[in-house]
Amino acid sequence: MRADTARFRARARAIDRWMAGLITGGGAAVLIATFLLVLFLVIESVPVLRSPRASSEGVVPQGVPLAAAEDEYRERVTVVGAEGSLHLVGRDGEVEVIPLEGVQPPVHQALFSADGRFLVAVDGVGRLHAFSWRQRVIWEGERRVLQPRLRAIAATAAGDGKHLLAVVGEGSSAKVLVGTEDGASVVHLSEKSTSATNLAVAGPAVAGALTASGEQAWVATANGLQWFQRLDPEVSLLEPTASVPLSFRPTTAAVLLGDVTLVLGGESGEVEAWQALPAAGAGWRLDQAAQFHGSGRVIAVTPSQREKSFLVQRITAAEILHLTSRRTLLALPGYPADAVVARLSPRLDGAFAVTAKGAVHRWSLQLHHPEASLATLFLPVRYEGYERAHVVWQSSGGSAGFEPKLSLLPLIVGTLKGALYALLFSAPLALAGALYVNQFAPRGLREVVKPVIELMAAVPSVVVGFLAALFLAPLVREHLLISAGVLLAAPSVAAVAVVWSLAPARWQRRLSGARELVVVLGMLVVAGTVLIVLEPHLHQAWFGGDVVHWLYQRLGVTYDQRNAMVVGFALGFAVIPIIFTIAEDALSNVPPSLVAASLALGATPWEAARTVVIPAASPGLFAAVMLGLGRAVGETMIVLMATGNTPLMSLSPFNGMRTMAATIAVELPEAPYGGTLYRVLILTALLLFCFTFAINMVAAAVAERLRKRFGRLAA
Amino acid sequence: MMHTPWLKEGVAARWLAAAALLISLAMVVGLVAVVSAVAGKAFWPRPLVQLHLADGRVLLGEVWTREADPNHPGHERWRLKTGNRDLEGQDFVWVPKAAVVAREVPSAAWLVERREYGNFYGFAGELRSPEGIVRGTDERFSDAVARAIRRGRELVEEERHVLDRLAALHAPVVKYEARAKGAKNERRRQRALAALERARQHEEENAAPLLARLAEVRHQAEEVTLVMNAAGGQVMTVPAAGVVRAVPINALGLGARVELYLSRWWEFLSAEPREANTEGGIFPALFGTALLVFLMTFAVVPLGVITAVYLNEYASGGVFTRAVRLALANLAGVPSIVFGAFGLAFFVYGVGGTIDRLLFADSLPTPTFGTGGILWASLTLALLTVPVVVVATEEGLQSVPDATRDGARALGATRWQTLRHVVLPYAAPGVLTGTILAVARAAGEVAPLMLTGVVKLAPALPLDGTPPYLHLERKFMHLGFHIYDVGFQSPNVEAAKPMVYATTLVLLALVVVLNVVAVALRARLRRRLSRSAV
Repeated sequence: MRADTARFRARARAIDRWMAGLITGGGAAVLIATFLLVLFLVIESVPVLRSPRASSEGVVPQGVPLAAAEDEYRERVTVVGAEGSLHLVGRDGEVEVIPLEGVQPPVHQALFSADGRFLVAVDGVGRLHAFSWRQRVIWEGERRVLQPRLRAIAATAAGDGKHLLAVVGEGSSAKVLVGTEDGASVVHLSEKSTSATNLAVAGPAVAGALTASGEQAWVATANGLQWFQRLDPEVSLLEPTASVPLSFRPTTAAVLLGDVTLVLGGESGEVEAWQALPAAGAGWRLDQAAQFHGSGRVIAVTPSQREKSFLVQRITAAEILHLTSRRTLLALPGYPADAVVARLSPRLDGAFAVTAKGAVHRWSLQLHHPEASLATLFLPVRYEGYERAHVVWQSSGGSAGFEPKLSLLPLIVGTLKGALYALLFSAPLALAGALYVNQFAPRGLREVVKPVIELMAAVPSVVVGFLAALFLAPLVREHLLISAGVLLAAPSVAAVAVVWSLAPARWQRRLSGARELVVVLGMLVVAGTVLIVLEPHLHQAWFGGDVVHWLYQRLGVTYDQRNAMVVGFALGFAVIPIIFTIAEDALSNVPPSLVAASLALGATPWEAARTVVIPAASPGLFAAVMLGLGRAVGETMIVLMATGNTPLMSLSPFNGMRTMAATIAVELPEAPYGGTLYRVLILTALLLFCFTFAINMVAAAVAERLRKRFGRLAA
Repeated sequence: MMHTPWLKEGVAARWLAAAALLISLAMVVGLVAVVSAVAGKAFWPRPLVQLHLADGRVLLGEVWTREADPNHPGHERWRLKTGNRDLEGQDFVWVPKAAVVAREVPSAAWLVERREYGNFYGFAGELRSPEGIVRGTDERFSDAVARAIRRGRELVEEERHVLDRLAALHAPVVKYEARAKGAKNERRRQRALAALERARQHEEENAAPLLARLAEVRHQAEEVTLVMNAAGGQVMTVPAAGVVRAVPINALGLGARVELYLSRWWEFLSAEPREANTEGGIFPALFGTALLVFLMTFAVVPLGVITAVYLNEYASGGVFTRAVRLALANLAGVPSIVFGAFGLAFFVYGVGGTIDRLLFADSLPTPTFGTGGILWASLTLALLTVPVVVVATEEGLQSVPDATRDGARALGATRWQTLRHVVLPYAAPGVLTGTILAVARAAGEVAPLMLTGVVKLAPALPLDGTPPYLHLERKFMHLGFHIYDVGFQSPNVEAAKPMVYATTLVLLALVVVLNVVAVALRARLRRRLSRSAV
């Protein structure tokens, strides 16, 4: 019997210990969850700022190179040899040779297009040959094989004494930009016909580039840069659309993906980005958009086919630069001094160089997120096609050549703007309401108000946002005057009150408690009715029937239907219950003895509230507003629905905005996992977290201080 | 010293404060009133008005709005819902009031709600069936139409039932095909191929009678057609199975109108959505919301209760306890969208991606758990609502008098026994309050769901008749997201407005009822707390 009891006791104690451990573990789980939350936001966002890396991958010898390109899978580098054939150099050094049909050795010059799919060569008899060049993956049973396909497009005698500058192609036609002693011309080659367009260039062309569309050409001479539009096979002589003098001697040029920016390399190491912009008035002008630092003559520039980075090949070094972030991402380590060709792999996951002796060097690249840097996220950037540096959020575009614009500033400004308008609206209402309920309201009102305010807090934000956007926004636009008239409510109630307080004290005593509330309600109803009745007349008399039109014509103010006013009101709906509840708590926590003492000394209830209660509770009231701010900043659905979601930097109450939270909600589901946009959006979430964390800390600290102070008082 | 009476008494300040309070309260009342009013009449039958225009056109439809014409100041224009999208290409037309020559409410006008192309407004033509033709002028027409629609509905249901069974037969074939394709080695591939062969055979053996039945049902559904005449003279023919209801709406008495109104609400709550969510019902969204919060409670209640018990019964007040309290305060203050981002990064891509690599490698790169789904959404919401449960549970625990605890301990109970048999039962209303509040909060939350698996139209419910019955990886529909989607992303926002308002009312009512219950429970708890303190 006793043994049983002892065993039972031991078991109970064991269970007790177990459960204590489990429950403490449960407490820790919340801590761990919060920690994980931060950790994961950091883990997923910080790589956006990771530095790019390159690692060298070995050397494979081969023959004399003129030009080279690599396939998508980085399996083989195709090198054009002077003896008139293609050498496909595999990773293991195995070489397959494909003769260039119809080409008379020795080949003098050869050039691949930027995408590596077209090849031009000038042969021993001065003929210009164009080929299209593909490598397709086919399956021989279980074996994966890259099948090369070389197809001659056309050949022409036009190659003699000319200097190959650029080639682009499409399907079975190609355009070749060639430099001559006195200028430059574009040779149009296709299976059916060949023709040439002479470009009116002042002096011998040193460098040049064609856009991928084949519609525009850039030609640089020793001291100037010209831009030609509309390259048409039918036109035999084309004047430049715009030209500009250069302050350095150019050596090479390339157009970046997207066909907007030209990168020029110079004799003494200059690298500059140029763009054609619409000139004031009419026509076009050429504008220097960026300058990169570096030294050593630039031999070649090859653009990436993925985004806005490019490889700059100098005499003794090769660097990868990025246009948007204006950064030198990296220099290829162990770059051979005698390299003739250096290019980026089509998928931007590698680079290779071929030396004069024919050795192929390869690098693996991990550029991570070159377009995002602290500077591009938070400072103005001059994007392609822009005149000046701007802060813009535009994360995706229609074409592959789109330059993502990932500035967080418009989102931060939009977030703060929404929160500001929300607080402007809700903080006075909620604080004053809490003060009234706590200090002046008739007994029993608190029991009615509290549940209603709780209900207000419980209304899903999607409901508030929906009504704000589809019900309130059109209503406000229609009755803008009434909305403006609401601003007059406070002064008019105050004015009536002042007049009333001049009335005999006997009357005033009768109007207290619930009656006072009813009177105020009556006044609000009367004021509202007056506004509604007057509005159409005012409309016609002063504003010609349409206030929005009037605003635009007279003041130049644009009006969006879903604007900051509407958002402020709707967000206010979400914020009021928070501020109200916390403020009311803070006011209730002021020890009644303080108020009693004040009243005993002859203060009126208002004086007691003003001089004792409010000052004593002020840290709590401050905390209430701070937490309201936290809610306004993080609210998603309301702003998503009730703003136009345009990332503007305008602070006007009549314009919309785009907030961080709404951007995350809209763009994160579509953002590819691990991509730059994904990481930037997670970073945005992290910023939101940090912001609300700081607010919570401040509010908690304030509450702590308050407790200590009143703890002393109560004691 | 202040002697000015209005400063001393602070009348202005008091009145302003009162006004502020009243405005705040009016906002709540206004919101509820607007939603109830608009949603309340969303399904009330509107009269069909026939307009004769100056240019000779005749329009039949419901007048939705009357407003000042922005193009002709001083004139009024009407927005007329003319329906007949298949004939006219649009649901609405603007009619300048000045262009209306004559206006009537024809008692012979019919409203036909169809499964496709929305409403049809027009006049009775005839009902064709193998038994013969019933003309619109015949007094049996209404009854015959009602019968045909009922029969049509049965056929549609049977068709769906047969299709479901066919799909269930085909499901293993798809599964083993994918498994054979993604097999890592030859042995697995052979096994999958054998299973595939068996599944194919099974399907072949059993599908034939179902297919025959399907053809028969479809044939029967095609046989009975309703022919109606539009006001403009065009003829519309629709199979009776494609009609939800057809009524001579202007001729209905009050009783019939109320019946129609209620049956529309019932359809709204119980049917699937049609026509890109702008018609039909919201059942999948209701169901998704319910299942979501149900799953969530399994995660949030244990976690919240244990944390509250720890803080209230076990915590020593050291650094660790303060850290837990701080973490809770932060969880309560962090924007819900941040939880969504975390849910996506951690649950979906982190945990889900790992599960896929370990257990569902065969079907990669198509993700199974590595994409948004109801499990991840409910876990994300659980994290979001932990503070709600903790706060309410703590309040419940605090209401337990210390004397009760001491009594149990004095009788020799261990701490756990005291908790299990005395404290927790006593604090149960607090736990319940917290759970209900968490459910209410979660039911209305949308932003985190947008990142963790909500969709505008889910092909299947997450809970159905195919094993394993509860499909935690499936995407789901949600009331709140439905409001956002139909109100903002729908191609036909104007026509969908009544639906959105009605959905809003449903969501609002759900949340309000849950909160009222929670508040009532808490009030009881507090009364006890004040008694026990005495």
